[in-house]
Amino acid sequence: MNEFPGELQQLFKSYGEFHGEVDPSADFMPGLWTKIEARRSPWFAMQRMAKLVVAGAMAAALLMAAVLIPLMENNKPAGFYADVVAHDDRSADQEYAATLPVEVSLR
Amino acid sequence: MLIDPAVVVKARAGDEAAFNQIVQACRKPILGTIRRLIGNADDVEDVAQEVFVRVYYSLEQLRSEDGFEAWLYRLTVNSAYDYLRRKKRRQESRMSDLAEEQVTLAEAAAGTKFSVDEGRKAKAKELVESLLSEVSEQDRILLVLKEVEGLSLKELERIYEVKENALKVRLFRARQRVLKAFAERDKDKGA
Repeated sequence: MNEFPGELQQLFKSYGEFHGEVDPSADFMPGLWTKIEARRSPWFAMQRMAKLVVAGAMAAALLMAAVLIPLMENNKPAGFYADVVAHDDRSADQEYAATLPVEVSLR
Repeated sequence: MLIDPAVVVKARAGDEAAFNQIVQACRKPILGTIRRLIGNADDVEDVAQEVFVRVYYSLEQLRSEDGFEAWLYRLTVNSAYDYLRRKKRRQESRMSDLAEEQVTLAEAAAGTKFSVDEGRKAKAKELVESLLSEVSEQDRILLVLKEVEGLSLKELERIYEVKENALKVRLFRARQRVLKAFAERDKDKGA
Protein backbone atom coordinates (compact mmCIF):
# COMPACT_ATOMS: atom_id res chain seq x y z
CA MET A 1 0.00 0.00 0.00
CA ASN A 2 1.79 3.09 -1.26
CA GLU A 3 -0.88 5.54 -0.24
CA PHE A 4 -4.10 5.92 1.72
CA PRO A 5 -7.49 5.49 0.06
CA GLY A 6 -9.01 8.79 -1.18
CA GLU A 7 -11.16 9.39 1.89
CA LEU A 8 -8.24 9.21 4.32
CA GLN A 9 -6.01 11.26 2.02
CA GLN A 10 -8.65 14.00 2.08
CA LEU A 11 -8.92 13.76 5.86
CA PHE A 12 -5.19 14.22 6.35
CA LYS A 13 -5.19 17.11 3.89
CA SER A 14 -7.99 18.81 5.85
CA TYR A 15 -6.05 18.16 9.07
CA GLY A 16 -3.11 20.09 7.60
CA GLU A 17 -5.39 22.92 6.45
CA PHE A 18 -7.01 23.13 9.89
CA HIS A 19 -3.69 23.76 11.59
CA GLY A 20 -2.49 26.11 8.84
CA GLU A 21 0.27 28.60 9.56
CA VAL A 22 1.40 29.57 13.03
CA ASP A 23 2.69 33.05 13.72
CA PRO A 24 5.37 33.33 16.39
CA SER A 25 4.50 35.48 19.38
CA ALA A 26 6.48 38.59 20.32
CA ASP A 27 8.11 36.58 23.12
CA PHE A 28 9.53 33.96 20.81
CA MET A 29 13.02 35.40 20.31
CA PRO A 30 13.52 36.67 23.90
CA GLY A 31 12.27 33.31 25.21
CA LEU A 32 14.64 31.45 22.91
CA TRP A 33 17.65 33.47 24.06
CA THR A 34 16.65 32.98 27.69
CA LYS A 35 16.71 29.22 27.14
CA ILE A 36 20.04 29.39 25.32
CA GLU A 37 21.59 31.42 28.14
CA ALA A 38 20.09 29.11 30.79
CA ARG A 39 21.89 26.15 29.22
CA ARG A 40 25.13 28.09 29.25
CA SER A 41 24.95 28.55 33.03
CA PRO A 42 27.36 26.65 35.35
CA TRP A 43 24.41 24.87 36.98
CA PHE A 44 23.30 23.37 33.65
CA ALA A 45 26.89 22.46 32.81
CA MET A 46 27.15 20.71 36.19
CA GLN A 47 23.92 18.84 35.55
CA ARG A 48 25.20 17.70 32.17
CA MET A 49 28.50 16.63 33.67
CA ALA A 50 26.71 14.74 36.45
CA LYS A 51 24.60 12.94 33.85
CA LEU A 52 27.76 12.01 31.94
CA VAL A 53 29.44 10.73 35.11
CA VAL A 54 26.40 8.62 36.00
CA ALA A 55 26.20 7.23 32.47
CA GLY A 56 29.94 6.45 32.57
CA ALA A 57 29.66 4.74 35.96
CA MET A 58 26.75 2.64 34.73
CA ALA A 59 28.64 1.64 31.61
CA ALA A 60 31.70 0.70 33.71
CA ALA A 61 29.54 -1.32 36.10
CA LEU A 62 27.93 -3.18 33.21
CA LEU A 63 31.31 -3.85 31.63
CA MET A 64 32.75 -5.13 34.91
CA ALA A 65 29.69 -7.32 35.45
CA ALA A 66 30.01 -8.73 31.93
CA VAL A 67 33.71 -9.57 32.48
CA LEU A 68 33.78 -10.58 36.15
CA ILE A 69 30.58 -12.61 36.49
CA PRO A 70 31.64 -15.33 34.00
CA LEU A 71 35.10 -15.47 35.68
CA MET A 72 33.57 -15.86 39.13
CA GLU A 73 31.16 -18.48 37.86
CA ASN A 74 34.09 -20.58 36.60
CA ASN A 75 36.07 -20.40 39.85
CA LYS A 76 33.21 -20.70 42.29
CA PRO A 77 33.20 -23.98 44.30
CA ALA A 78 29.63 -25.08 44.76
CA GLY A 79 28.16 -26.46 47.99
CA PHE A 80 28.72 -26.23 51.76
CA TYR A 81 31.80 -25.31 53.78
CA ALA A 82 33.04 -28.92 53.89
CA ASP A 83 32.77 -29.19 50.11
CA VAL A 84 34.71 -25.96 49.71
CA VAL A 85 37.50 -27.20 52.04
CA ALA A 86 37.60 -30.54 50.24
CA HIS A 87 37.78 -28.75 46.91
CA ASP A 88 40.66 -26.60 48.19
CA ASP A 89 42.52 -29.64 49.60
CA ARG A 90 42.15 -31.55 46.38
CA SER A 91 43.53 -28.73 44.35
CA ALA A 92 46.43 -28.30 46.83
CA ASP A 93 47.19 -32.08 46.64
CA GLN A 94 47.15 -31.94 42.89
CA GLU A 95 49.50 -28.97 42.85
CA TYR A 96 51.86 -30.77 45.30
CA ALA A 97 51.77 -34.00 43.30
CA ALA A 98 52.57 -32.18 40.13
CA THR A 99 55.83 -30.90 41.64
CA LEU A 100 57.07 -34.43 42.69
CA PRO A 101 59.09 -36.75 40.41
CA VAL A 102 56.92 -39.51 38.92
CA GLU A 103 58.50 -42.47 40.86
CA VAL A 104 58.15 -40.69 44.20
CA SER A 105 54.56 -39.83 43.62
CA LEU A 106 53.83 -43.49 42.66
CA ARG A 107 55.11 -44.75 45.97
CA MET B 1 12.66 27.90 3.74
CA LEU B 2 15.82 28.73 1.84
CA ILE B 3 18.87 29.45 3.93
CA ASP B 4 22.02 30.82 2.39
CA PRO B 5 24.81 28.31 3.16
CA ALA B 6 27.11 31.26 3.91
CA VAL B 7 24.80 32.28 6.77
CA VAL B 8 24.94 28.73 8.16
CA VAL B 9 28.76 28.84 8.01
CA LYS B 10 28.78 32.16 9.90
CA ALA B 11 26.34 30.86 12.53
CA ARG B 12 28.47 27.75 12.96
CA ALA B 13 31.46 29.98 13.62
CA GLY B 14 29.54 31.58 16.50
CA ASP B 15 28.02 34.61 14.75
CA GLU B 16 24.85 35.30 16.75
CA ALA B 17 23.43 37.68 14.15
CA ALA B 18 23.65 34.87 11.58
CA PHE B 19 21.95 32.50 14.01
CA ASN B 20 19.16 35.04 14.54
CA GLN B 21 18.81 35.31 10.77
CA ILE B 22 18.35 31.53 10.53
CA VAL B 23 15.73 31.55 13.29
CA GLN B 24 13.82 34.44 11.68
CA ALA B 25 13.78 32.64 8.33
CA CYS B 26 12.84 29.19 9.63
CA ARG B 27 10.65 29.74 12.68
CA LYS B 28 7.32 30.11 10.86
CA PRO B 29 7.54 26.89 8.81
CA ILE B 30 8.99 25.06 11.82
CA LEU B 31 6.16 26.28 14.06
CA GLY B 32 3.63 25.04 11.47
CA THR B 33 5.30 21.65 11.18
CA ILE B 34 5.46 21.24 14.96
CA ARG B 35 1.81 22.22 15.30
CA ARG B 36 0.85 19.47 12.86
CA LEU B 37 3.24 16.96 14.43
CA ILE B 38 2.12 17.41 18.02
CA GLY B 39 -1.46 18.54 17.38
CA ASN B 40 -1.45 20.85 20.38
CA ALA B 41 -1.34 24.62 19.92
CA ASP B 42 -0.37 25.48 23.50
CA ASP B 43 3.09 23.93 23.45
CA VAL B 44 4.13 24.72 19.86
CA GLU B 45 6.39 27.67 20.76
CA ASP B 46 8.04 25.74 23.57
CA VAL B 47 8.92 22.84 21.27
CA ALA B 48 10.09 25.22 18.51
CA GLN B 49 12.35 27.04 20.97
CA GLU B 50 13.77 23.67 22.03
CA VAL B 51 14.52 22.94 18.35
CA PHE B 52 16.44 26.21 17.95
CA VAL B 53 18.30 25.71 21.24
CA ARG B 54 19.44 22.36 19.84
CA VAL B 55 20.39 24.07 16.58
CA TYR B 56 22.45 26.62 18.52
CA TYR B 57 24.34 24.05 20.56
CA SER B 58 24.87 21.41 17.88
CA LEU B 59 25.43 23.50 14.77
CA GLU B 60 29.09 22.53 14.83
CA GLN B 61 28.07 18.90 14.33
CA LEU B 62 26.43 19.73 11.00
CA ARG B 63 28.56 17.99 8.36
CA SER B 64 27.63 20.13 5.36
CA GLU B 65 25.82 23.47 5.06
CA ASP B 66 23.86 22.07 2.11
CA GLY B 67 22.24 19.51 4.38
CA PHE B 68 21.01 22.17 6.79
CA GLU B 69 17.31 21.89 5.96
CA ALA B 70 17.14 18.10 6.37
CA TRP B 71 19.17 18.42 9.58
CA LEU B 72 16.80 21.09 10.92
CA TYR B 73 13.86 18.80 10.10
CA ARG B 74 15.60 15.97 11.97
CA LEU B 75 16.01 18.15 15.06
CA THR B 76 12.35 19.18 14.73
CA VAL B 77 11.22 15.57 14.47
CA ASN B 78 13.36 14.61 17.49
CA SER B 79 12.02 17.47 19.61
CA ALA B 80 8.41 16.67 18.63
CA TYR B 81 9.03 13.01 19.44
CA ASP B 82 10.49 13.88 22.86
CA TYR B 83 7.50 16.12 23.55
CA LEU B 84 4.99 13.41 22.55
CA ARG B 85 6.75 10.86 24.75
CA ARG B 86 6.81 13.24 27.72
CA LYS B 87 3.15 14.04 27.15
CA LYS B 88 2.26 10.36 27.04
CA ARG B 89 4.20 9.73 30.23
CA ARG B 90 2.38 12.46 32.06
CA GLN B 91 -0.92 11.25 30.65
CA GLU B 92 -1.84 14.80 29.77
CA SER B 93 -2.82 13.85 26.27
CA ARG B 94 -6.53 13.41 26.88
CA MET B 95 -6.87 16.50 29.01
CA SER B 96 -5.17 18.91 26.63
CA ASP B 97 -6.97 17.45 23.63
CA LEU B 98 -10.23 17.80 25.45
CA ALA B 99 -9.45 21.41 26.27
CA GLU B 100 -8.72 22.14 22.63
CA GLU B 101 -11.80 20.29 21.47
CA GLN B 102 -13.90 22.30 23.89
CA VAL B 103 -12.53 25.53 22.45
CA THR B 104 -13.28 24.31 18.94
CA LEU B 105 -16.80 23.30 19.86
CA ALA B 106 -17.43 26.55 21.71
CA GLU B 107 -16.28 28.52 18.68
CA ALA B 108 -18.43 26.36 16.42
CA ALA B 109 -21.41 26.93 18.69
CA ALA B 110 -20.84 30.67 18.68
CA GLY B 111 -21.15 30.45 14.91
CA THR B 112 -19.40 33.72 14.36
CA LYS B 113 -15.91 32.54 13.52
CA PHE B 114 -16.73 29.20 11.98
CA SER B 115 -17.88 28.76 8.41
CA VAL B 116 -19.18 25.39 7.17
CA ASP B 117 -15.76 24.68 5.66
CA GLU B 118 -14.00 25.41 8.95
CA GLY B 119 -16.43 23.15 10.75
CA ARG B 120 -15.60 20.35 8.31
CA LYS B 121 -11.87 20.89 8.88
CA ALA B 122 -12.39 20.89 12.65
CA LYS B 123 -14.20 17.55 12.36
CA ALA B 124 -11.42 16.17 10.15
CA LYS B 125 -8.89 17.38 12.70
CA GLU B 126 -10.71 15.60 15.49
CA LEU B 127 -10.96 12.38 13.50
CA VAL B 128 -7.31 12.43 12.36
CA GLU B 129 -6.21 13.13 15.93
CA SER B 130 -8.15 10.12 17.18
CA LEU B 131 -6.67 7.93 14.42
CA LEU B 132 -3.15 9.15 15.13
CA SER B 133 -3.63 8.44 18.82
CA GLU B 134 -3.98 4.76 17.86
CA VAL B 135 -0.42 4.55 16.51
CA SER B 136 2.99 5.03 18.13
CA GLU B 137 4.69 8.43 18.32
CA GLN B 138 7.15 7.35 15.61
CA ASP B 139 4.36 6.32 13.25
CA ARG B 140 2.44 9.50 13.99
CA ILE B 141 5.43 11.67 13.07
CA LEU B 142 6.21 9.69 9.93
CA LEU B 143 2.59 9.81 8.74
CA VAL B 144 2.25 13.54 9.39
CA LEU B 145 5.48 14.27 7.53
CA LYS B 146 4.35 12.17 4.56
CA GLU B 147 0.59 12.70 4.41
CA VAL B 148 0.20 16.20 5.83
CA GLU B 149 3.51 17.95 5.18
CA GLY B 150 3.69 16.19 1.81
CA LEU B 151 7.38 15.30 2.04
CA SER B 152 8.70 12.93 -0.61
CA LEU B 153 10.41 9.63 0.19
CA LYS B 154 13.71 11.18 -0.88
CA GLU B 155 13.25 14.02 1.61
CA LEU B 156 12.27 11.58 4.36
CA GLU B 157 15.33 9.50 3.53
CA ARG B 158 17.56 12.53 4.17
CA ILE B 159 15.79 13.36 7.43
CA TYR B 160 15.73 9.85 8.87
CA GLU B 161 19.04 8.78 7.29
CA VAL B 162 17.61 5.38 6.39
CA LYS B 163 17.14 3.63 3.06
CA GLU B 164 14.01 4.26 1.01
CA ASN B 165 12.92 0.62 1.27
CA ALA B 166 13.03 0.69 5.07
CA LEU B 167 10.93 3.86 5.02
CA LYS B 168 8.43 2.25 2.66
CA VAL B 169 8.03 -0.68 5.05
CA ARG B 170 7.54 1.63 8.05
CA LEU B 171 5.04 3.74 6.13
CA PHE B 172 3.18 0.65 4.98
CA ARG B 173 2.84 -0.62 8.56
CA ALA B 174 1.83 2.81 9.88
CA ARG B 175 -0.85 3.17 7.20
CA GLN B 176 -2.12 -0.33 7.96
CA ARG B 177 -2.54 0.57 11.64
CA VAL B 178 -4.40 3.77 10.80
CA LEU B 179 -6.61 1.92 8.31
CA LYS B 180 -7.40 -0.70 10.94
CA ALA B 181 -8.33 2.02 13.46
CA PHE B 182 -10.43 3.74 10.79
CA ALA B 183 -12.25 0.49 9.93
CA GLU B 184 -12.91 -0.27 13.61
CA ARG B 185 -14.25 3.22 14.10
CA ASP B 186 -16.64 2.72 11.17
CA LYS B 187 -17.67 -0.64 12.63
CA ASP B 188 -18.40 0.98 16.00
CA LYS B 189 -20.43 3.70 14.29
CA GLY B 190 -22.40 1.09 12.36
CA ALA B 191 -23.13 -1.01 15.46
